[in-house]
Amino acid sequence: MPISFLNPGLLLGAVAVAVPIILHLLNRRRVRDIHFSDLRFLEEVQIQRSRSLGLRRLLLLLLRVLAILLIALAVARPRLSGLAPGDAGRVSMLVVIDASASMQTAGDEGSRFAKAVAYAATTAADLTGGSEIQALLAGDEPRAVFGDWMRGGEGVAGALRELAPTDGGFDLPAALSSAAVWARAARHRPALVLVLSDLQLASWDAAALARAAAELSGAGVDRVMLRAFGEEQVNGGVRDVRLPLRAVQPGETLQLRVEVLVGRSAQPFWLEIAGERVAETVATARAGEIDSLVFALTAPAAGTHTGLVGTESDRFTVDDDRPFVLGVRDSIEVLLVHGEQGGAVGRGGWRYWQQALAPGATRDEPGDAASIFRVRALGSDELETSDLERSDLFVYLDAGSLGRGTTEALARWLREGGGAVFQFGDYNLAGYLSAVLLPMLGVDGNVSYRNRSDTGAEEARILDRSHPLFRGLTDASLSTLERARWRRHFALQDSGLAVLMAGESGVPLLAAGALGNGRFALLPFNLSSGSSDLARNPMFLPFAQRLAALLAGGGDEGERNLVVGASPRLVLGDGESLRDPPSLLFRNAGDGGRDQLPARMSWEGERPVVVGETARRKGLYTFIAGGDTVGVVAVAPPPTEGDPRLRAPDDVLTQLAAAGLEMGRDLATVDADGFAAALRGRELAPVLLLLAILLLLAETALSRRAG
Amino acid sequence: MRAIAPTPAEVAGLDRLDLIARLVVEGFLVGLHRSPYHGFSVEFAEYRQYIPGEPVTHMDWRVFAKTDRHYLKVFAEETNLRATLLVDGSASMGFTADDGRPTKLGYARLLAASFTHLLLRQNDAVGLEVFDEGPRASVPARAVKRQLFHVLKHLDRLQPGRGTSLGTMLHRAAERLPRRGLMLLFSDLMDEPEDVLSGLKHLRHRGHEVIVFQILDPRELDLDFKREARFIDLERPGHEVRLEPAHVRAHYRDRVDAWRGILRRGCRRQRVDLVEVSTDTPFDRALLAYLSKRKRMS
Repeated sequence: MPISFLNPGLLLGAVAVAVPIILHLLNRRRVRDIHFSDLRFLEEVQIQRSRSLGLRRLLLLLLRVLAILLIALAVARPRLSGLAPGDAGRVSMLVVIDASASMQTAGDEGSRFAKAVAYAATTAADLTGGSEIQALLAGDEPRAVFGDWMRGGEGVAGALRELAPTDGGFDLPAALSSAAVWARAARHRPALVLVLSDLQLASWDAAALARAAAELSGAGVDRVMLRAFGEEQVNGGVRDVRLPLRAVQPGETLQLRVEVLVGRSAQPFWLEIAGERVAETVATARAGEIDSLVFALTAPAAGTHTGLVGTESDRFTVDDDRPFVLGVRDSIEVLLVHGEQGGAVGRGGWRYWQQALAPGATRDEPGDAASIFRVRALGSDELETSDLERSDLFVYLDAGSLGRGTTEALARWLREGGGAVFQFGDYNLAGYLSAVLLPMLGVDGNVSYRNRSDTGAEEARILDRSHPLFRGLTDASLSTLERARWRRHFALQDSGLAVLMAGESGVPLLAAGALGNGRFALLPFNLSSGSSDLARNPMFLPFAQRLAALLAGGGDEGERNLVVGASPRLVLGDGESLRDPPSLLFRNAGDGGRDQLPARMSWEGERPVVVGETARRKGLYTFIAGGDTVGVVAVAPPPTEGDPRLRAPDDVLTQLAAAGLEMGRDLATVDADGFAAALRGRELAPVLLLLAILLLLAETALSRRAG
Repeated sequence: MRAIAPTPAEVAGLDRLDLIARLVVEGFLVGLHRSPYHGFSVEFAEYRQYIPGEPVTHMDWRVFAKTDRHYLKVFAEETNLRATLLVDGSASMGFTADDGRPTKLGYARLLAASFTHLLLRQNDAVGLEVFDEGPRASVPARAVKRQLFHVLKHLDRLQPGRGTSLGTMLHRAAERLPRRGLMLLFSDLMDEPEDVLSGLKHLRHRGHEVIVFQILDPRELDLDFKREARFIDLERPGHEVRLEPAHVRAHYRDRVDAWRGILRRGCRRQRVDLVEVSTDTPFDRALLAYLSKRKRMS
């Protein structure tokens, strides 16, 4: 059991043991001579008692030395501690409280989080005598509860009891790294780290954990202790709702794919849109398994719709429903840019794009009113940068050089979230591609041109059939698409882009990339009959529509549906910031009440945005300006938080030990009071003083007897 | 009796033995009220007035009848006593705990000188025998005034000698001094008690009256020394004992008491007067012991 001292400096008093020892030695040396008349009697008694005298003298010395040692020890105020010997009995205790969603799992005696907080509060309340404490609330991003190290006591304990969990995940390496930063500022040694967690699905990256352990060692942390709460129990819930990554138009039939954890057999799950249950299904997987459900949904009218996928309530309520926001557009503005107006009208087959997206449209008429796409075709010489701001999708088809100013405006527009299709098959554009367009998109690699005879034409291969562009299409449809043939096209080598479709020889025919918040697709061929027969393929129309919808609308869903730990963000339209900038952000708490959170105005380029504080709870976050709702964002918990699997503390401690932090300890059998008592240690001074007194009494009696 | 004689401590720093002895004796006699000097003579010396309360043994009734006054006859003693002073001059007699008291030999020397003075004043013959493990000096007993000078001359020079062979020396004295007389032995008696008692018995057998002055230092009796010490034997070179006096004191006293008990009982059986004195005992007590003995002898 390690012993710490409140007044370690007074241990120097132990050197006083030298006094009786020196006196003993001096007495041995400084024996005076007495010339005595007759030694007969002395010799007789000396023979009898000399041996016992020596022993007694040694015993006396031993008693004196022990008594002095005990007194010196007692004055230094030793404490028997089960944890770590500290300087003057004070410690710096850093409590990492797992505030992830899984900690809200309820047990018979409250939630795991409530137990952890109670454990921390008891520890803090008993951490007196100058020890200091800091707490890290670790859900996703660890944050310190106090502005600085605090002295232990009831005040700190009260503040800890007020803590609330988050709906996020738990990143132990990040929490330990943050602990290391605080440990460097610790005033006392030892610096102890106490992790209170359920260790739910704690499959952290071993390298990250090793780095965190090294940081803790470097920060002088002496010991990491773990107290795990909770036991494995299967609680059904919704893990994920996969929204279409494309623009959805009203009345469209959607298939929402939902991943659920089944809590019991035949567990029901339902879909709600705007508060109304619109679909219900039953999971077929067994309890404890993950099932994939599909809800068929007819897209409602254009606008932003809130919804949720829910199931029956259980001990872990966070994943009992999962909110989402679905955007439905009544139109997608497509800016189709082709060759100069005065030049060869229709070069490159741009009309195929126009007719695929908006059947019946002309240069002056928008075409079919039923179509979601509203196509505006312009010659490259007619293009103005203001046209970009009114568009959701930019389609470039062999439009020649756009000029420096337009190219830069296009790049900026893309970065701010625009979507674009770049299709080029004109051999003369090779220089513009290499020098301007591809560098503008951040695409590396080299470009060559391939021209084959009819017999050398090759078919396409779809490389990623799970991509949203192809998802939901039948194999027959995909095979039809693959039967399209290509003769002339650019060959992009080593571009670094994701190739979705390639020729039989492997040359990319459809590549996807991103620039800032925007996304684009590259089609290195045009739609003229000499280049490929894609435009005449029966699958061209759905292909073009899907590609346009994907690029025009996917980004919005990403912005509207977040995971806990992200910051809700709303991009405002032109002029909105001028009226009444929204600065309030509300979260509906599910129970009818709502939390008000701070939000601030910001700018992304020339577009005003409102950014809220990091979302720590799930729910629908509503931006309100001037009394009107101007936007809503859904925040959901991480999909894995409902997983019932818990890791054993020993596994984590073993990982820490492997990283060089070998002083871990599992506190599974130590309750809060026991831990606090172990921290406090046991005062040994009274016992030592009592022993010293007994020794001195024995010494007195012995020396008197000898006298 | 009021002691006027100087104490051993008072005379320890003086070196004129004759003067000291005289001081001791005169002081002793002044304090004695009546002089033993006149008590034991058979030859009439003078009259003196009777003091009420005195014994009427020597009352001269004839003078009373004539003068109606009470006079006592004062007799001058006959000088027929031969006293020999046997002084143990062994090394052990040289011990003193050195806290203002004389050595045992110093005490014996002064006591012997005082007796010489006293005896010669009574016209007794005084002789001296000094010995340790062998004879060291011998002055035959004589009653002349100059005898004081001869005796004191030897006593004055007397220093502690070698070991002790007291029994042997007593036997030798018994053989060498065939004429009956008074033997005054000044010794610590630190020899085997059987040998000592054997020697005394021999003296008694020869018809001597014997007074033994056993002179010990108080520290020899109580071993009252502080702290641990190395005790070195004065008579046996190489013999030493290292011990804590306090630790053995009780046992030591037991043994000393037992030894002195043997001597006491032995002397009583031999009808030898044993006067136990320590070097802080006033000289009066030793002299009184002699007077008591002298009275019995008369």
